[in-house]
Amino acid sequence: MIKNNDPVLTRTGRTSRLRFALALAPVLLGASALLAGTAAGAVSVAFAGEVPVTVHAARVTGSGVSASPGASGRGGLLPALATRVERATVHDACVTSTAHLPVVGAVTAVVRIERASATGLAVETGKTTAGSVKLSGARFSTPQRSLDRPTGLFTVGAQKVSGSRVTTQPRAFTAGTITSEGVAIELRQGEGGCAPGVAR
Amino acid sequence: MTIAIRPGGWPAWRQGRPFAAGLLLALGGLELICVSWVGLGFLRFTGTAGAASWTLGALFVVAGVTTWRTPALRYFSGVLAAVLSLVSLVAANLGGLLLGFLLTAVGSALALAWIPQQAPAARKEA
Repeated sequence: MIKNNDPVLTRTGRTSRLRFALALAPVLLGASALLAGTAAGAVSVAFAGEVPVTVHAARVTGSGVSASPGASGRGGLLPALATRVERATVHDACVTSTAHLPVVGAVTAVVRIERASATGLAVETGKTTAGSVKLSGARFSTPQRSLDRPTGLFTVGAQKVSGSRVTTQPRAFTAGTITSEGVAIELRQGEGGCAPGVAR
Repeated sequence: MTIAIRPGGWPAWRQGRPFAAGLLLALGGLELICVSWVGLGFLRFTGTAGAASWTLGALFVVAGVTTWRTPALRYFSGVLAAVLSLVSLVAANLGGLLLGFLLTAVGSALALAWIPQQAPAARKEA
């Protein structure tokens, strides 16, 4: 049904700049407080990402860890180790990510973190190396569809894991909450970043 | 369904409601979902951030459409979007990597700042 409603036809409107400023100010104030709290480690944020990064950490501890091989990427083309950690903490970490921009060229973001903890962490990694790894309560299982037809996949788990001089390249990650302390962000032109074992 | 045809066409429709506010709210919501969608391509699930991104993104789109369809509800949708934009900072990938937060924060402020005006012909009838 098509209706021609004359009184509505003449209605217009305008935006009051004063009202706009009054409405935007408390939101920006609240956002500043939240971001400051996040940087200080007082506020946890939920995060899920697919940014290609390299992480170097002097020390990593985790509890409730389980890892199994899988495939990641569009169409499942890349082999990856899918790791689930109930609670993880990294000390003296350095995260680097290089983006190739059209005009500027390669730009590397370097994020140095004194301490960060995450809960409900799921990571798909393509490569992980560590100077030393300590496991407690380790388990190994091979899921089977039936007794005579194993699937071929396995799961490695541990109640507690700690590692030192860890370098990993997560392809994707998600975390229920992330809390970080002592965060410093630096942008550099060109490639490069943190050398392994030189997180800070 | 009733469709009101305005003689002024598109410009009159756009000026008769907080158009920019609704547009920014909807775009911000879609941006939150897009950031989460990228993660979904890799992981089977994206945890809290993924669920919150989809929920908040959908609410922002609804708020934007409400602002367009029913300008009288602009205060409700504007305040709701302002609060949710702050929630998105901690719950949804840092507010869709801050871009979604900025879009929805400005959109909510524009919704609250919009003042309807009526032409003299309409005032006579009132």
